[in-house]
Amino acid sequence: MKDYVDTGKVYLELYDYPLMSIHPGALMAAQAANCAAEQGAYAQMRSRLFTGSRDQAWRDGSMDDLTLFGDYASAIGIDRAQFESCVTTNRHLPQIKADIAFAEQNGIRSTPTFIIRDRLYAGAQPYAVFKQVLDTMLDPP
Amino acid sequence: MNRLALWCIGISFVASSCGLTPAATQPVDLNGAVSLLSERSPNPRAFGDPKAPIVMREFSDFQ
Repeated sequence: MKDYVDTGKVYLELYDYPLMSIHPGALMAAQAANCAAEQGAYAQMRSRLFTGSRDQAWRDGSMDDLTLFGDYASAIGIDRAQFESCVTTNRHLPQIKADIAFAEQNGIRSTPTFIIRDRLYAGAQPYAVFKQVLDTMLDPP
Repeated sequence: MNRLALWCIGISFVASSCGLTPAATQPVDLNGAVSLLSERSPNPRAFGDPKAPIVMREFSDFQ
């Protein structure tokens, strides 16, 4: 990030592609992230959600998960009531659906997937891979 | 971008590595893209300079 985004070489856009058939809590998590974004805390909520997922602290988009996401909102210092209202009213569902449509339109079937210019990279990649791809694009041989 | 945001995104990259798969590339035609984030304003899910020479898009879920 600091090598490419902060230096003005890369503009990074983050899209939601919740794999709802195998990850039943992913849609609510995407909504939580977008609702946190309303209050300027997208990155912080995203980090909490990934950590919680790794630790299996949330699973299926249940009311317990909603409560936990509310706890995340409180912990990162955003308005919890506003956040929970946003999530429960599906305020960002149209945006998430647009992301899903865009992903599927471009043949994306798994996460994480990256599109760098017009090239698609499926799966998590080591930093060295990104560095090689980006450096080659920035300074073609 | 502040350091905290950078740190959070960095952690996200690592955390999103749960589905480790071999590197794979294929051409993607973005001409028919709909509802690109870059066309939305404001865009809290984007980082860096919109005029940067490279646009990188990450698609992820949280599980």
